[in-house]
Amino acid sequence: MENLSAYPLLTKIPNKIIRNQILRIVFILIPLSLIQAQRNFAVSGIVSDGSSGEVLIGANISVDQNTSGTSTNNYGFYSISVPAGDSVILVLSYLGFQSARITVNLKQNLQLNVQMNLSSNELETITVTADQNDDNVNRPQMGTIEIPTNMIKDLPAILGEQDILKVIQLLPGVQAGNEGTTGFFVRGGNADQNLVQLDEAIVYNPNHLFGLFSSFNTRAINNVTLIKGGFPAQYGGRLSSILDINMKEGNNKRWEVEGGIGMISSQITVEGPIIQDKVSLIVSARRTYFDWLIKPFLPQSIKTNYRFYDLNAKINWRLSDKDHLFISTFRGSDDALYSQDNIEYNIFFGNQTGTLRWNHIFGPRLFLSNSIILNKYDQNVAALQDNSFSRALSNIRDISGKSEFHYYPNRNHKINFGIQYYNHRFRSLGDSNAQSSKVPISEINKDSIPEKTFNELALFLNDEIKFNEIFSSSLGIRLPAFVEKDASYYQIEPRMSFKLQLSPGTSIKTSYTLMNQFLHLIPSSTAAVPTDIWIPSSRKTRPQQSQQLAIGLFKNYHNNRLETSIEVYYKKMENQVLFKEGNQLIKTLDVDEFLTYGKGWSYGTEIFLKKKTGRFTGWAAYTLSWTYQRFDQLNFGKKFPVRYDRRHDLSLVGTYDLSKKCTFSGTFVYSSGNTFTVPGGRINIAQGGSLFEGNYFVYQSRNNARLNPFHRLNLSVSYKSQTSLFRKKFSSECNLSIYNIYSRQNPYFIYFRVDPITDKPKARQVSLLPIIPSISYNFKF
Amino acid sequence: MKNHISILLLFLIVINHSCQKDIGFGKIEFDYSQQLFIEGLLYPDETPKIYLSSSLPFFHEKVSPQELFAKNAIVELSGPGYSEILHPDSIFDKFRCRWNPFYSGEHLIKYGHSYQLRVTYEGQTYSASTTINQPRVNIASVQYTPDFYDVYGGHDGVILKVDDPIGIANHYRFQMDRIIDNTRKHAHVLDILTNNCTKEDEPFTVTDLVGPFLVMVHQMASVCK
Repeated sequence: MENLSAYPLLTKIPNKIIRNQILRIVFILIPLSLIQAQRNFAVSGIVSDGSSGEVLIGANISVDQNTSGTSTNNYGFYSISVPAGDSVILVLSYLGFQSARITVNLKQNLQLNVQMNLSSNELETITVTADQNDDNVNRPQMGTIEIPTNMIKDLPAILGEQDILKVIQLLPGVQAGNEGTTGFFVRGGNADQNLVQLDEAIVYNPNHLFGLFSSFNTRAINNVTLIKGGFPAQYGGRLSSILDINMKEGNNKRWEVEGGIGMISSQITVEGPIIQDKVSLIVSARRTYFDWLIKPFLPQSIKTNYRFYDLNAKINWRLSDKDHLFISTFRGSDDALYSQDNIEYNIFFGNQTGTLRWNHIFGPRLFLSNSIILNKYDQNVAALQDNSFSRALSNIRDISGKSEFHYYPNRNHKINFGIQYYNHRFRSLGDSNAQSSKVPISEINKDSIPEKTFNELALFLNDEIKFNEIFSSSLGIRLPAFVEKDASYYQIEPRMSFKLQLSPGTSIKTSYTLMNQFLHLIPSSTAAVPTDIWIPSSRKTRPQQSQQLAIGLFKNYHNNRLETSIEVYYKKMENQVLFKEGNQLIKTLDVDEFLTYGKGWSYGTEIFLKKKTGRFTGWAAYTLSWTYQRFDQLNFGKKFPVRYDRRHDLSLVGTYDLSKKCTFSGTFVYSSGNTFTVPGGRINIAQGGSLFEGNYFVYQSRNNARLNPFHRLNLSVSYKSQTSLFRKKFSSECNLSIYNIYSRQNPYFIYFRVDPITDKPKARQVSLLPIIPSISYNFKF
Repeated sequence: MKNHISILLLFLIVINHSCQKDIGFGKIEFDYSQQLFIEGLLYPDETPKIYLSSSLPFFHEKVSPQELFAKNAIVELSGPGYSEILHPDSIFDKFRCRWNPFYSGEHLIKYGHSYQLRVTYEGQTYSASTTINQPRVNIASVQYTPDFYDVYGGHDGVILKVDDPIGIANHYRFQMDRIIDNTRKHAHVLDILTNNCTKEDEPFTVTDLVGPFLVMVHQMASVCK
């Protein structure tokens, strides 16, 4: 049993008087603020898109011109306190929508559902709303970025597929994985330290086609939020980031069909009301025809049938003004066979999620969301090459539940509290042995693999407090527990963010968070065989833990049209896990004896400039960072940089509306090269000695060299048109994208060999993606 | 998890469609200190051969055995009642058309005797000792197989069945000398090497080594030549 305490944090504050003052602030000001609630009435309700009924997440609601209002939660709900008896004007704003100004004269609490309208002239609308939205400066939370999903469709796409995870890679503090893939690393954390959730269901592998595309169909997505620091207490379970993706609820006004035809896949989305304004449905599906396209070009000796698909569906049922029921599901998988001569690969991996959510509004100040979630991840990768067979099988099943209350006692408090529970079941198998290539890969009975089950439970409480116009905070605590047959861990996670408003458009924020993670993805120490598997914590493999401290300056210019920020962070990570030297494959979940444990730390600065209105929109993100790990049993106990320790990461993203019909966009990225390991020396063994003749490499230190810098420019142009089809409005868009327009040979990896004739050692750089033009066609009616 | 799937599949694409180029590491300086590498096996009834070579920074321009040979070393081998300084010698590798240098002695190695090796090179002294006491096992049968599967994959090979003494921890070393004419290529990494140093129809040998290796079943193993 393990215990961590939050008290050391306070006890480390050297001055006892200061420490007592902090406690006094917390315990005195909160009740005072609650008492204030008695003098106010609450206006609450749901904010939605008037054309589709889709809830608007993060819409701003303020009283008069007071910008320190509130915003809608993930379900479009808001609650704001206004003085009793006064006639006040509520101002609602949301990017891309006409601002709404509503006069209310309160003698009692008021339920006010608001439907906002898209402007007929979108450019003008954006200008109007921009004056109101300075949420990035005003909220105490930092390290959070809302992804503008409406902007994604105009950005350059590879092979005609716009992708949300590719956009994530362009944000500050986020480092992209291998070129062309959707992998991302946040503030020095490993890939497994990112919690990717779709409608609160964990998606363990959000990828298609070698990671070239994510599993998320952008047309089915309503809202995406990336949290990389200053985590509110309702979020937990991973050290480095939470990528929270919410599916659309479906148009409850009219039926719509939206589709896209890309180079290797197509998609279609159908949404509409089953019962007008009461029950809506959205179904979105995508499938590749990569397998059909590639077949004519393959020699007869090669057989392959790579195919992937994904399917999103959601039913949104408004039971009453106070009750809302959602059922959503996601299925996606990749299935591939590749055989050539003595090579055979069988690959399957797929995610399934199901979410049942019931939202209930108890009153103007209390909102409840209950979810029951089922998610499954299956992976079975087997390879047979040169009479050598390897297999990695992973099977994960989670059943989870979450109840989260949103309580708004007054305008100065926003309290979230609740409980979250997971039951995990894991099955994993890694294997490698000699097998004749003439014997086909055999199936394996998954039920024969021992399973491991464990439970996670977390209680959380978070209070976003506005002390006055200058100082506000978000204070929270999360109490996660891990219970398994042989080991249990009970942790305390303090979360705190503070904001000091320097002027109406400028603030300084700081945050401290402690996070725990009970799952570990054990990365392979070799690149040729599939060995990465998820394992839970155990008696020996203790939970991963991070502490992150960040401080940032946030400033908006030109009536909030230009957002800027600079954040500095330091994060340390304990109980990091890698294989010991020389160990790779593992046959069961009992892998502890093959693992070694260490720590990591990362620090850096992130600069973000974002222009969100006008003809030209976009952002620039720059990250300067360092990330290291140290393991007693690796690299002679010395620290070493992690693979994605890149000193510089720069992303420039821009979209220019030439006219209502024509849009240009581009992205440029520059980053320092990944680290990799170069042998320090070599020993030449001649024939006649006691060993095989040849050259033996001497490795002295991990990740002691860097690949060449990476840079790439993508451009695209979109042309939109509108016609009429069967008396209905038919919108279409044609997008031409060029990936890597100057065909930069960016390093993918480097391998070493010694020329067998000359004995001279060589390093060869492999580059993967040259210039790739692509075209896609999208339509909506 | 996604990483290895990516790696696996991208490996296929990379091999077939990627762009590759040699790159240099001239600007990178690795802190590598040269080390002496000593290897040698003493066989009963044969004269000793000790190989001394220097390890080098990976991208060092010196590559051949002659260049890497640790000259000016003092190699002393002592046995019961005698001690000799081994002298530089070499043998011509017809397959690779080059001389392989080593230090050799005059005294035959005797079974059951103990030996001490002492090497002095650039001010450092290295020493080792051994006793030639491993019993030579009886080879029960020898069998050639074109398809043998082990952790290195599939290849041809020779299966030797030997009588493994019960209750004794043994180490076996398998060495197979292939007699190859110049129409054949080496079974391993040298298969693209063109042999220009042998006359037509003149056979030569190359050596394959594996060890230690798996004892497949009790009393079945491969054994030294």
